[in-house]
Amino acid sequence: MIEFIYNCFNNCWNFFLDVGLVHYLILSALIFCIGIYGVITRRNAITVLMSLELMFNAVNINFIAFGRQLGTPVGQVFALFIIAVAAAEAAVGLAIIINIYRNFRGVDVDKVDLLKW
Amino acid sequence: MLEKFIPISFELSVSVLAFLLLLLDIFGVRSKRVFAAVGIIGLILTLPLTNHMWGMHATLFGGAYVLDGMAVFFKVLFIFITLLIFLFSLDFLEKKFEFRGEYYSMLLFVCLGLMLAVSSADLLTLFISIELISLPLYLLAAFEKKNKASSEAGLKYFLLGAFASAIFLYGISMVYGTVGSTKFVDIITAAGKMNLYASPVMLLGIIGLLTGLGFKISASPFHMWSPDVFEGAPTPVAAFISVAPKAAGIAIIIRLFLLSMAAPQVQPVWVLILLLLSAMSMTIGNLTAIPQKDFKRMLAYSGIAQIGYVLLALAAATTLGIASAMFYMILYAFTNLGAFGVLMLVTRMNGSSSISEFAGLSKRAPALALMLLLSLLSLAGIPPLAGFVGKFYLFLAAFQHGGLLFKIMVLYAILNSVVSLYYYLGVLKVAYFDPPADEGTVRVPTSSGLALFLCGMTIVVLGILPPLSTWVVNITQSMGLSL
Repeated sequence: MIEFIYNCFNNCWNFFLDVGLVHYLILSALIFCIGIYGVITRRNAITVLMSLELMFNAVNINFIAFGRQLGTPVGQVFALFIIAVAAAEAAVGLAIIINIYRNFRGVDVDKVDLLKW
Repeated sequence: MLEKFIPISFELSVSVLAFLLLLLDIFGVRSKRVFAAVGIIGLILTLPLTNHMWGMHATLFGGAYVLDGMAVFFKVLFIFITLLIFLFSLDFLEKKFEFRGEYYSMLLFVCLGLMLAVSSADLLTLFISIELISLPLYLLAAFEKKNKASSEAGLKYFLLGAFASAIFLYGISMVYGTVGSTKFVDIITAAGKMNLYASPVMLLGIIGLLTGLGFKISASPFHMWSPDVFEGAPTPVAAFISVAPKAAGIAIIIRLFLLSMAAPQVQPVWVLILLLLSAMSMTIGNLTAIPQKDFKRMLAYSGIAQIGYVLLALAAATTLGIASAMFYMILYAFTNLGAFGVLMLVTRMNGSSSISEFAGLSKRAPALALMLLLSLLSLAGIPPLAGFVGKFYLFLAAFQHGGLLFKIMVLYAILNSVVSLYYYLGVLKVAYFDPPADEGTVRVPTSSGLALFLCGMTIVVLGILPPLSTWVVNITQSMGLSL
């Protein structure tokens, strides 16, 4: 019995010690899902933007992990491009959100509902 | 030395033009007409470059960029679309928002992104060019800064667009992880050898890619943004969003997905996915368009339905299917721009886009009413016009492919066209039979009139000259269904 518990503990411990591709993929999938959750549930436009950034960075982790695993530089190059594009996207998004703030006196996306059906 | 630049000369000249317009703004040119004139002349000057590129097959930048018949075809189409949008904007801007020079240069940057997107042969190039299309379009949608609807359209387009591109990127990362390369050639070869059901990671990646592209072409489960954005955005921008990114999306689907469909073990998956998207787009687009009161919103739903027809032909994945889809994108562009152009002129003064604005148009402006008639009947697919020829080839391609499923789908699509006739005719009834609310005639400025005349001519000529559609088949055959 004690040996069994010891083995279980040891296996878990090893899972955390030998960090490989799968760990990175799980991490990135978790972050990606947190991002999706944030985009869907948050009402503040700035928080939605932050959740979008989370999604982009989850993809970055994926690319770096795959690039390391496959031994090609494509993954890292892709991640660099994503960082640059995400920065541009954030700039555009903030500009649009400032405009929303001026017109609607707030950045609550639920209040922005002139156009429907 | 200079010969090396011939394949990218369209992109080079459009980007030079875009920066030139930005410089003109910096150096204090304040006349709106100067910007538009420089842009229009520059775009027309790029057209002769087609002579050098026709029939060329070149691969550049380590296989990240490819120039073939299909790429040149779509590039010329994009130049024409941008040209028409410039002509329309010239009059529209005069009455609207205070002027900022970046409007025209942002349109040109979108055009650059579209051109790069149709000839990208690597997922990295594809991603960058799709972002180059999206980012200026988000800003253009929100361009009427003081207008609440416009800024709301910008916010919705931005949030949903960024969400879609994040999912697209996640898909790319999964495909890269499975295949080990981001080049289309490698992906297509690998997908041909692979059992998709046994490789969930690849399947996840492909679903991500399809989500991103489906958002661009506003196919049905990913269409929610388009009615809101069309209604809120300034009308020339809405017209641009309604045709240009869709054409680019269709081109990318042809290049990336259809060429891999030849592999027998992949084909059933694709056919099912495309037919599902097609059926959903047709149903939702047509049924939701019926109760619409707003013309732009109605055109958005009709555009979703039109994409459904195109996807049906693409699911057949034959040469005729691809050729008819490409042909349909030309006539869809000109027809839709025609309808938007009429709306722009009629509602230039008050900014509303309700269908009731057209009341009595046949008395107020007979030429505009005729143009509205031509474009809406062409969208519905009434015989002598281009829309009929286009739909005929789309349905023929799907029908010839064989299989009971395809024949049922064609029947369903024809039923859908009949349904669509109802709401197109509803608008025409308002324009021709309702008494006008406002007796004044509608002034048609030269530039918009010219653009509308070009659209109308194209709709009629493509309809009565069938050799033109066989010409598109020849382009597709010369592509040889390869990269």
